Amino acid sequence: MDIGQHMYDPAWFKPLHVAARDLTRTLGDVRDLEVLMEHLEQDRDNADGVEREAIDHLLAGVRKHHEAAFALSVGELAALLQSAVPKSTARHFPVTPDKEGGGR
Amino acid sequence: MTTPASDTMHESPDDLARHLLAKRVAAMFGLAPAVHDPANIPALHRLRIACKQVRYGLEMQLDGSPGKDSLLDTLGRFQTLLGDIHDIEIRRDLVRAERARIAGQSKPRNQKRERLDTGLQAYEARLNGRLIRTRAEFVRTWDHAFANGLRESLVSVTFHGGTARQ
Repeated sequence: MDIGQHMYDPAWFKPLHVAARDLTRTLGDVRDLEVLMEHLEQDRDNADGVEREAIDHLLAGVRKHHEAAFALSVGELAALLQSAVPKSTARHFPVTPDKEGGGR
Repeated sequence: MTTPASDTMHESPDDLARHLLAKRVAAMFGLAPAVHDPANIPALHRLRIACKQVRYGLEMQLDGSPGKDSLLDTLGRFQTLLGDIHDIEIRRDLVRAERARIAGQSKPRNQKRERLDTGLQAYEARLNGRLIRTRAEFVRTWDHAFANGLRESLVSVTFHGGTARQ
């Protein structure tokens, strides 16, 4: 999308660019926490005793952060869908049916 | 295509893509000193992102070039190792933050807290060992690639439109 800044009218492209950037950041936060949880779970499975208990303790805290970040991203996505950006984007990048007759 | 958002005009999308790729390759080379500086963690993080941007830029430009796969593999290997380093550091920071939080609690230490801190200490030691090994592997991979002409290949492809030598 950075290249698009040099190619399209900023009057409509900039709000799309900003929305995409914000959404990427919000979803990125959620994904980062999911990756962290996956790694902690792998480490937990390879640990035992007090180390395993400590990793479980960390996991519990990260899961709470993830729940909060997920709720935030859902709220931001809902707000984006209510904004003018989806309609403006659809006007400039109309969806055309493919050969099978479905949209992409 | 409508009003350009930049005062820099390019002859074609290929020209623009090459210009952006050149900037990203220059940024990647600019971060090279961080590879041998274990203390410069933020620069390694920026280097990981720079490698990713260069690889994506090359993927769009190197269609059919001999050596393309090797060049992209090398950049992908950098990305993987730098990503691993980053992921380990995140977990180590998490452990350290939790240990500091526990140490800062005003209530007296009890057996449960002692046990938790012992476990966190063991996990931190494990992560430290993993970090040292992964960093060493990254430095070896980086040095090997540059000794085998990575810089020349990237410069050739980016600035002169040549083919990858690797």
